[in-house]
Amino acid sequence: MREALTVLTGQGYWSPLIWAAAALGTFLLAGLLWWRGRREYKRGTEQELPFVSGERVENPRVGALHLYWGLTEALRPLLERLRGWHSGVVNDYAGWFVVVLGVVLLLLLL
Amino acid sequence: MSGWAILGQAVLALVGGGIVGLLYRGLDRKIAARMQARLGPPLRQPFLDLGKLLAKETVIPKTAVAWVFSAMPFVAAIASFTALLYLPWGPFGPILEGHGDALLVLYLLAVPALAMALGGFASGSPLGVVGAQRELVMLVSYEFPLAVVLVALAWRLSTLGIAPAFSLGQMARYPLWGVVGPLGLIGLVVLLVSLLVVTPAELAKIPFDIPEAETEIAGGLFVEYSGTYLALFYLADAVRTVVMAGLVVALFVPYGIAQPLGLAGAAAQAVDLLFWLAKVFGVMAAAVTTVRVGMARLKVDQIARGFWWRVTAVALSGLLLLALDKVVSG
Repeated sequence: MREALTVLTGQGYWSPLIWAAAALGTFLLAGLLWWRGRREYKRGTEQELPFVSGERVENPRVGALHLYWGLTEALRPLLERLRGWHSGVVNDYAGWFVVVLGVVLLLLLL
Repeated sequence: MSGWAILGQAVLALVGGGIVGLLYRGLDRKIAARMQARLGPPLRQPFLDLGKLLAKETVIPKTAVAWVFSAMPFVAAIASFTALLYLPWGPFGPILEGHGDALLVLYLLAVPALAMALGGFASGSPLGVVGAQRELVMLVSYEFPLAVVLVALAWRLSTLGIAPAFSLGQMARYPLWGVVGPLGLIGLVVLLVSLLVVTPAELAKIPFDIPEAETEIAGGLFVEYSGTYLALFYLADAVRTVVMAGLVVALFVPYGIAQPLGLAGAAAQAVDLLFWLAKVFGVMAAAVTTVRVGMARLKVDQIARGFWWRVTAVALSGLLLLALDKVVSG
C-alpha cells in the first residue's frame, strides 16, 4: 500500500500524500501563528494604498513585457543566435528536426 | 517507528528548525556587526522582531489580488518547514526518510521563492512587481548549477552501487571524499564551491538580494507585506536558511565526532547533534554572513550572467572531473 502511494523515479522517490499530511500539520502551526497575530487594519484609509515612494500614481502598474529582462540581457548572445536560426522556412525546421533526431539516435546507440 | 513517534519527532524538528533559524539570524547580525566594528543587536533580536510583527496590523493593499497575496506567506512557510522533515539532523536520519529524496528538498527550497514572487506580483505595487521579476530571474539562474551539483553526487553514488542515490540519508551516510581518486577530490571541491556560491542566492542575501534591495526598491516583493504575513515570510526565510545549510552539510560534511571521541549511546547522539548544529552555523557564517559583509549588491543581469555562464561552467567541470575520476580509477 505504502509503495503504491510513492512516486518512484529510478534513483529517487517521494510520497505526495505523506508530504500533504506534513503540509497540513505545518499549515495548522502557521495558522496558529496567524491566529495569534493582529489581523485587522483601518479599511478605506490611505493605509490601503500601495507604497510608491510618496508619489500619487493613478494606476501603479508595471507591464509584463520585461518580465525576464535580466535573463534575456545575460543570455543575449545565445538568444540572438537562436533567433537567427528562426528563419520562418519550414524546410529549415524539418532539417533541424532530422539532425537532432539523428544525434539522439546516435547517443542511444552508443 | 510508530506513527506517534514520527509525529513527535516532526513537531520537535519543526519547532527546533524555527528556533535554530531565528537564532542564526541573531548570530548573523551579531557577527556582521562585529565585522563592521559595531556592537550589533542582541542574539534574541529576531525573536523580538517576530513578536513585534505579530503585534502589527496586517494590511492588504487595495490594489492586491487579496487571496493570492494572503495565501503566499502560508505557502512559503509550509514549503520551508516541511523541507526540514526530509533533512538528516546530524546523527539522526531524515524523519520522513523513504518518503522524499534530495530532489524533493530542492523543489521545496524553490517553492518559497516562487511564493514570494507570486505575492509580489499579487500586491499590485510596482515595487513589489519589480522585486518579483528579479526573484524569478534569479530562480531560473541558480537552479541549474544547484541541480548539477546534486546530480553529480547522486550519479557518483549510484556508480558505487548505493541506491537510491538521491536519498539524502544515503548521501549523508556515504560521503564521497574517501572513495574517489585525486581527480574526484578536485571535482568534489569544485562542486562544493559552486554550492557555496549558490547558497546566498538561494537565500536572497547580499550580493544577491536584488528582489528586496531596500535602498533601491524599498523591500521589493515584501514592500506591501506587514504584520502576520510578513512574520510568516520572516520565519520561512529563517527556516530556509537552516534547510540550505543542512543540505550543504549532508552532501559534503556529514561527519560526526562522537566515534573518534570514543562516545556511545545518547551522549554520542547529543554530541553529534551539537556538532551538526555547529557545522550548519559554520556553513551559514561562511557562505552568507561573511559574504554579505564583504560584498555589494550585484545587478540582475550580472547575477543571471554569472550563474548561467560562470557558476554553471564551474559546476559542470566538477561533474566532468568526477566522471573522469571514475574512468581513470574505475
